[in-house]
Amino acid sequence: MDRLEELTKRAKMGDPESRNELLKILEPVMRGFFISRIGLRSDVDDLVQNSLLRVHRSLADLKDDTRLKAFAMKGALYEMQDWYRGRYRAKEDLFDAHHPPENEAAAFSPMDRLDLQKALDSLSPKAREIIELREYGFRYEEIAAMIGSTEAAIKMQVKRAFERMKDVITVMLLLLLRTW
Amino acid sequence: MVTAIDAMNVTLDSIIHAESWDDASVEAVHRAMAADPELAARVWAWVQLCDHAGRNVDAAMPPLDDLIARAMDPTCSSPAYASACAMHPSLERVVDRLADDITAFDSAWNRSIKQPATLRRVRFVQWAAAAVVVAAVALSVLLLDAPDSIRFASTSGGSEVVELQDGSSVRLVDGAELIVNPAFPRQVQLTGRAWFDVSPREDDPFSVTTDHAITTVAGTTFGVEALLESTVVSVVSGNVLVQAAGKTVPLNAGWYSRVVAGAEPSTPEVLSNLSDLAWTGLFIFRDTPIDSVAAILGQDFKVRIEVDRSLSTQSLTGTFDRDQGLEEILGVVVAALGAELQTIEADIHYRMRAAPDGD
Repeated sequence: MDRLEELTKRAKMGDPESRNELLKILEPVMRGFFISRIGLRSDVDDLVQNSLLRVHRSLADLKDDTRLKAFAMKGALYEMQDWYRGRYRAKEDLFDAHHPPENEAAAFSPMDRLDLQKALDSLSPKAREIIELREYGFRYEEIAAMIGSTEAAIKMQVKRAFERMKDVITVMLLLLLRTW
Repeated sequence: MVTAIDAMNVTLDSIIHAESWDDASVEAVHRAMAADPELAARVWAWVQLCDHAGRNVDAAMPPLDDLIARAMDPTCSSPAYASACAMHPSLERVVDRLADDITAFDSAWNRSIKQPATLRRVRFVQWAAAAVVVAAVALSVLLLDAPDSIRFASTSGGSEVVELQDGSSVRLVDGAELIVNPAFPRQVQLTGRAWFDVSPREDDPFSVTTDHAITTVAGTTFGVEALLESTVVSVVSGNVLVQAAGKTVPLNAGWYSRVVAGAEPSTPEVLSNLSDLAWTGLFIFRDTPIDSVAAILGQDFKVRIEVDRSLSTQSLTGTFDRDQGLEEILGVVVAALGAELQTIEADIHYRMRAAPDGD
């Protein structure tokens, strides 16, 4: 049994020194991982701490002492995904989606009467993919790398996607008005 | 690059493309919307559409474990994943990115967990900003709470160029490792071989610590070979101080010193042959006669390079990366000489000759 496996076993049995030693060993792994994925940002410290907390809290769930690496990796991946998904929370400060802004023009919200899904369905598969990846939490630079394009091209496609959806909404609005 | 909104220039485009929001930008958007009802309606439409797209994906999202399993094994596909992907092909991109995350974690693990003992037992000590570096030369130092330290490494047989915050660059070769603490970017630790090109800063010395010695410079180009039993420091330009076992030895350009474990730096010796620095992956020429330049390049690339008699009295100072390739290097050399390159047979036979008059 190698040293890491032995440490894991003792940590699971409740030995605090082994547990601390284990987390100390994992810390530079987590840090190196997060820095390699998101750069030297202030979020790295929080990501490292949260990942180590996941390992600490769920260590008892690790069945196989030889699988510490996979176990720790899963914790790091969960934190990474949570970080992506949380990046656009600030955008929600613009409006709450269920409470439109107090503005006379916006109070008449065409979207209340129209099918948002139809507007999304009007997009090309690529444009929809970009919008979805953006809503998942990825930045334009990351989306560009993911689909093999440039940041400028991605932004242009987003703008065109909105124009396309807006045109669809406008047509549907006219049809709606005519039926009244 | 993260796109932030310019509070002084709020347009629909800037709102659609914004990726970061602070209180000032949110307030600017609200003011713009209050002043322009049409803008307000369009922004509201955009927010609802994106929100709807996001909710669609959330509703179909399989458990993250399914995505991770798929990222680790492309043949693995849970019914939930297959169904979600059919509706939202963008999830395949998410899985691809997860696969990259897994590879990155694997690398981080191997760097930290599988390192030789001498690298794991490394401690950072806070250096005085302008004083000569003071540190124990003892081999064993512990890696303590250096939460901001970053490791760079080159592959075995390969090379990696690291650009540091202060503009200095380090070329790591053949499995070498460099540790940098961003809080002290001009104080690095090295295992293996590296070539340093240090930005000059008189008030902030640059230091390289190995298991045997500390080398301190203000700005220069030099190589450090931190081997198992000794460290060799070779200086090509500028000058350095090599410290070990309580003794500090100055080294000028064109000299080298060797530090054996536990001993003082050796008396400096002349770096008689810059080809001894071939391990850097660089060709380093300092007032080197052109005939010698041609001979070194020809030997390394296994080609014949002739030099016209009219050029043979000239010499060259410059540093070239082997990865540039022979023809690019020769192109730069002849340009520096005001000469021209004749390709007699590509990859086999070249001639450097004086440019005809009028060129």
